Amino acid sequence: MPFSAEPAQVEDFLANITLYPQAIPQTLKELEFYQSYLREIIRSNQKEEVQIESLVISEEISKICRFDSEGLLVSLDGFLPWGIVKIFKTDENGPKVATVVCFEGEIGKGAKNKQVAQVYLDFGLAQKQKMVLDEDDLTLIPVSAEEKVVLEIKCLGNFKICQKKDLKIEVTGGAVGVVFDARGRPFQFPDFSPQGRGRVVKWRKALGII
Amino acid sequence: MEESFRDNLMAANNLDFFCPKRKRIFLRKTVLLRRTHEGTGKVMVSKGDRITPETILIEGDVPSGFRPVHLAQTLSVSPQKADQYLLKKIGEKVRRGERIALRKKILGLGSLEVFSPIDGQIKEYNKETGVLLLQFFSKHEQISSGVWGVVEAIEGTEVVVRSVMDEIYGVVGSGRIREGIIKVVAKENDFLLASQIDDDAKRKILVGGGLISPESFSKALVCGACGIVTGGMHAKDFWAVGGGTISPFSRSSDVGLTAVLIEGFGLQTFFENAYKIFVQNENKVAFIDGDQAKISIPLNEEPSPTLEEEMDGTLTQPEKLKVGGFVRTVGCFNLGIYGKVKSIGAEKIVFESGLLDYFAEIETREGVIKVPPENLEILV
Repeated sequence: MPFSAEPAQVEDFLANITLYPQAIPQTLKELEFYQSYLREIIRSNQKEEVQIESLVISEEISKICRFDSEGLLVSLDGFLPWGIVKIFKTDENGPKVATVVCFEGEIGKGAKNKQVAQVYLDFGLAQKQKMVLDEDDLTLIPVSAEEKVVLEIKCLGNFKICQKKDLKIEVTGGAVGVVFDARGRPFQFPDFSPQGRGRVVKWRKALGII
Repeated sequence: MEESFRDNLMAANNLDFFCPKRKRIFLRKTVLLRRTHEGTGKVMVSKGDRITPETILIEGDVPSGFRPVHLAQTLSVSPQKADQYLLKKIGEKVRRGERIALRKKILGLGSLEVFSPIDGQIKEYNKETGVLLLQFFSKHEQISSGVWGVVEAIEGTEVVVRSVMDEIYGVVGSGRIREGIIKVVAKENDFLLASQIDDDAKRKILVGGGLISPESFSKALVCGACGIVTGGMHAKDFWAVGGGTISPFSRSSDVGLTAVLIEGFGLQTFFENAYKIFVQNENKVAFIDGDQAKISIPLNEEPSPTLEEEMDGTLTQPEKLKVGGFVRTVGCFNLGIYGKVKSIGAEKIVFESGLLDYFAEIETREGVIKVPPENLEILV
């Protein structure tokens, strides 16, 4: 969560949600508790981080998210997929939310300048856009579901994408866009320190969640 | 938040909101109470007898437990030979501290002795394991009625009594059914402190407070209280100290004290209507049942000849939310606020959480609040 909470408050919340599972969050703090709870529920049902092609933001997740980007982050942090992942809402025929590029490789393992990859974005314009992705960052590029973009990805250090060092692929965006997840896999969970909470806040800001 | 399946359902129903309905207070309810003797007791009443709380329904001996003694191991002999050194026969009575086995070593080099750890009798010896089983003396027990009423039926050593009670349901509890005297020790939203519990708590059901600490719970146990009814308790204490569970697949364990939480987990103000009933019935006998989160207060009234078909206080049924209805909030951060439905909004509003949802205006003692229908429970 992006703020600290007493363990007793978290335990009481979890126990009360068991008594009243139909309730929805009324305050912002309560919303954060619900989203964290759902992330943990998803994670506890996941045996390991897996390469998947598509992911669905369920009705249950959407119900407690203000924006599509919140639902995206809850699903992403819950499932922790790797590879190029298309994210839909409700079901695989539902509205497309995003394409997420999830890099494999551990952060903090001596990558040069703590960089994960260089990415060239080709929107079919005269010039390609160049981007450098830093370790532990989420980066959002607004691209609609109808818009196509060719990504030329050159991984750095120990990082890979779809088990390759270099990849060229055409993707579309979604209601949120194209997201680059350079937080590494296996994922290093934020701890309870102010630094850990700072990482959570940074990821939320990157997706426009305040 | 975009339109969801739930929204469509509500729209199809012309904005009828269905909430779980629960009955938490039953006044003057005719119930059938079962009183059972665990042993081979003799029933002391007959069908149709009028009884008072002091009436003895059943009396008899209750078999007590067993205590194993590792005879062969203590005497340092094989299990097949250890019973040769017994000084008492199977079935013979023994007193605590009495010598029951003796093995003298060769050439008079000392001896090995076994003493009875209990008052009881020698039940049996197992030649394969080398364990001697001692049985405690059985206890004579009298089961009193505890209630006013009429003996409805007698089934073996179980007496069924038709009686009248006030019943109050909490939301969660732990521990077996116990009988005690109601003692109100704290106000509705106070902390139930250990200093408020003393030796006078013995055989009492302590009532009050919005939160009980593990120290207070332990002190109540030490002082011999038989039950605690409080607004809330931290979940961790409920599991660790209270022996409770919220799993639908398991029952709570009994720690020697039965607890009922009226509202839920954390600091929660005690339901005022329930609190008033406890105050009115202070110093009266009541039953507290942790598994059903229920407190039953027997009344000296004529039971109805028929049992009314009433909903169980532990269950909920969906019912349409109506203006004027009495409701309770069940939002995890806004639990246990009571009030009347003033209006039901036809349009969605943005709540502080940022979520867009329908709302009901609830008139509470502190003023009018807007609550999503999902966060309401209808009380009848």
